[in-house]
Amino acid sequence: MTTQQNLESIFPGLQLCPWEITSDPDTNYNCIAWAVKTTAKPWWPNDFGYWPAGVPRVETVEAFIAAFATKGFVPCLGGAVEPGFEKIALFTKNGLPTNAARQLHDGQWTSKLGQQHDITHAACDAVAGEIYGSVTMYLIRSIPPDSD
Amino acid sequence: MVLRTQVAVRQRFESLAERWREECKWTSSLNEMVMHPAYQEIIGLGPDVLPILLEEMHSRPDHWSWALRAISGENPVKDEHRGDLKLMAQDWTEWGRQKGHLS
Repeated sequence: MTTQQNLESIFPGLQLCPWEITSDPDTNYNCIAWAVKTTAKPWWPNDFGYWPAGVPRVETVEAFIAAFATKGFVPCLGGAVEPGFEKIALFTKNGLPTNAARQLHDGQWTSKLGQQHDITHAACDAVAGEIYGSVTMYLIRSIPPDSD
Repeated sequence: MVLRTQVAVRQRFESLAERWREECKWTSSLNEMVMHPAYQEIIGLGPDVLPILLEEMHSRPDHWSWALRAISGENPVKDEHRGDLKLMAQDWTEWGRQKGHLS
């Protein structure tokens, strides 16, 4: 089984839209870090993850919203492309945050899959399912002038 | 007898660590990772696994800080290093050498 086939079996939604692997596996960052465009440290609110100063180190949607707010993101209504803005989709399962995806300029999404690859996927919910649950919230910010 | 025990602990650690990496590879949750049964069983190996964990952290930095703290009762990780696997590994390596767990 190829890596692509393996990923499509684990995330069946990937069978339904264009997608591609964009990095090798890497344990030095996670999906939350990738959502805010950093690959230096995994973001997670436990004792040995990076978490923005002043944000409660608790595994709640509210704490994750507060963490994203330190990078200028605020909750918004949906994942449609809005010129001049970029969005994050926060996934939860059983009420706990599990994954985040970041919208790209062309409307595709990029996700870091746990300790594994970064991928781009045309449909935001292509990685929803048994492992990450579903999209609970979208967040938005103006695209910074120095954004790549 | 001591050598046999060390070999057995290392084999058990390697088996558990492989299972942990495989079963946690899709998760971003550091809490889920450290609560995984294989990770918890590694902690349960106790002080015998400490030198092995320190060697592993030094050679292949990963999310072992929780286990190292649980077993040793100490936490040498500097606040500003939290999250950075390589810097946390440096903190643990330095601590391990000071305590005589690493050469």
